[in-house]
Order: sequence, then structure tokens, then C-alpha cells
Amino acid sequence: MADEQGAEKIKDIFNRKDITVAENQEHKWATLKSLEAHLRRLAEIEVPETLKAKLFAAIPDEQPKAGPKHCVRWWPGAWGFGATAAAILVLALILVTNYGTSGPSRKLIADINDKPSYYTLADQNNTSVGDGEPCGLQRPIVNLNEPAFRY
Amino acid sequence: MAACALVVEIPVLHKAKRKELRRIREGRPEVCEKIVCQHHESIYRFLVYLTDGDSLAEDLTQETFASAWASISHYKGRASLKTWLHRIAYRKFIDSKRSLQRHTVVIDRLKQESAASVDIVNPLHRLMSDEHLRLLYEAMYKLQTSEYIVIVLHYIQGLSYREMAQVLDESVETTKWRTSRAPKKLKTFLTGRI
Repeated sequence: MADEQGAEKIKDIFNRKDITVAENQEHKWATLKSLEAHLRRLAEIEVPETLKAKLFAAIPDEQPKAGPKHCVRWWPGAWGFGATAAAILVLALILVTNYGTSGPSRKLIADINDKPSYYTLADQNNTSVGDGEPCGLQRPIVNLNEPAFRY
Repeated sequence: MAACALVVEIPVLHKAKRKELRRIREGRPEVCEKIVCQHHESIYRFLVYLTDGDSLAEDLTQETFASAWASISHYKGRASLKTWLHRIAYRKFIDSKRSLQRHTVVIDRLKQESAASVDIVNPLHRLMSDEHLRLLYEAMYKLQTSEYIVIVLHYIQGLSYREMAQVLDESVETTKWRTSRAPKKLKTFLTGRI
């Protein structure tokens, strides 16, 4: 609404023959280009000397403490060190479990296979069943006189 | 204080710029002096327009620079120093506006008392002696706050769309749209006066 009224007024000014220089200047400055120029003129503001002095006086003499950005820098190193240490530990564990204890354990298993912890009476007596093969695994016979079975 | 020639704006982190950024982050007094020298006028002017020429602008300018020194080691160089300082100033203004709203009654009474005793010089008065500028400022005052700020930042402070978006924490598109709309509206208010 205000725009329409303004446009009407500008039209009236243009149509008038007796337009004065002052009026012409007045409506000319309201174009966008001249508006920008006028707005730039609004930047001419002086800073009070007292404020300037206060601002310069407030500059810190000491350097501020390092921000978190500076403090964080050692973290990548720590992470790297931690990751490497963890990797070495895991590798060592794998080596120990695979090779470190593999000799004795295999030997033990072999011992168990070769010499079972329980024997049949037939094996103990060095006897055979049928075709003369040891019958220990086929017919396990528990010796009830052994201390483990007394209860 | 006199050596204001050094440019301390760091938009891109090249090798030399990175070195400059490190110097700024260290907060050496000579670097701080140069920053004050380069930007105090601009920041003060911005706050004068935000506070409508109130004496609060001086306090906020001081607070802005105090905050800047306190957090200069956190400055990352993503935005220019000018933008960074404008952003701090804008935050300070918003905070002060909130606290003023909270204590309106007390502030009004204090203002009446101070107006009676001390003659505060409005930095905008000198400009308002020019008839055109006075009309322009009155028309600006009729704009919405967001449009008013955009006019101040773009046309008076000379910030780009990107810088304005960083200060106002908006998208560049929104800022562009608002910046294109605000002068048209301003013109409407002005032509309405003829």
C-alpha cells in the first residue's frame, strides 16, 4: 500500500512541469544505487578517544594459556603408542598360546594315547581276546580294588 | 599502535597463513594491538547501530575485545578476524538485550537518573544533522530487526554474504535473500515520504 502511494507520488512529481531542482534531487536519491551510496555514508562514525585508550589498555601483557587445540596434539602420539603396545601384546599372546605351550601339551596328549590312565585287566595281564589283539579299548574293565572306586 | 598496515585476516590456511595464525593464537601484545587498530572502528560502529547510538555500544565494544583476548587461542582461522569479532560483538549485543529485558524497570530508572545528570553524546547525532541521512536512518528504523541488521552488516560494515551468514549463524541463501529484500523495503519507506 505504502509502495503504491509512493509510486503515485513519484509519478506526480515526474508529470509536473514546475518541478523544482530540490524536489528532483529529493526523489532521485531514493533509487537503489544512490541508496547504497547514502548507506555507505552512514559508516562515518568516529570512535571516542577514551574508548580507544581503554581498548589499547585492555590488551593482555601475558600470553593466554594454550587452548584445547594445543593440548590435544599429544593425543595422536598417545593413541599410536597405545595401539602399538596393544598389537604387540596380542601378537605375543598368540605366539605363546600357539607355540609356547604346544610342545608339552602334545606330548601329554600322546602320552595319554599311548598309555591310558586306566588299563583293562586283560592289558595288565598281557592277555588277548579272540584274535590276540589287546582288548583294552573294546572292553574296558574297571578294577574295583583301586582306591578311587572304593567309596 | 601506529603500524596498522599488517593484514591479519586468515581465510585460507596456507603455510604462511598458518604461521600468521599461530602468531595470533599466541596472543602476543603486538599482534593484539594490530587487531585493535584494524577492527575497533568497525566493531564500535556495528554496535552503535545495534544499540541505536546508546552509550552501551562502548561497553559492548570493550567486552567484545575482552572476550576475543580470552579466547584468541581457540581462534581456528576458518573465518576472517573481522567476521570472528563481528560474531562476538553480535553475541554480546544479544546477551545484553536479554539481560536488559530482564531488568527493564531498574534500567529505566537508572537511565532517567543518568539523563538528568550526565549529558551523553550520541555518536549518531553528527550524522543526523544531514537531512538525507536522518531520513534514511528513520526509514531503516522501520525495518524488521533482521532486515536492519542485514543492512548494517552489508552496506555499512561491508561484509560479504558469506561473512554475514557466519556472523548471524544462518545459511548464505537466507542472508542473500534478506539482503536483496531489505533495500527494496527501505526504498519503499523512503519514497513513501516524498
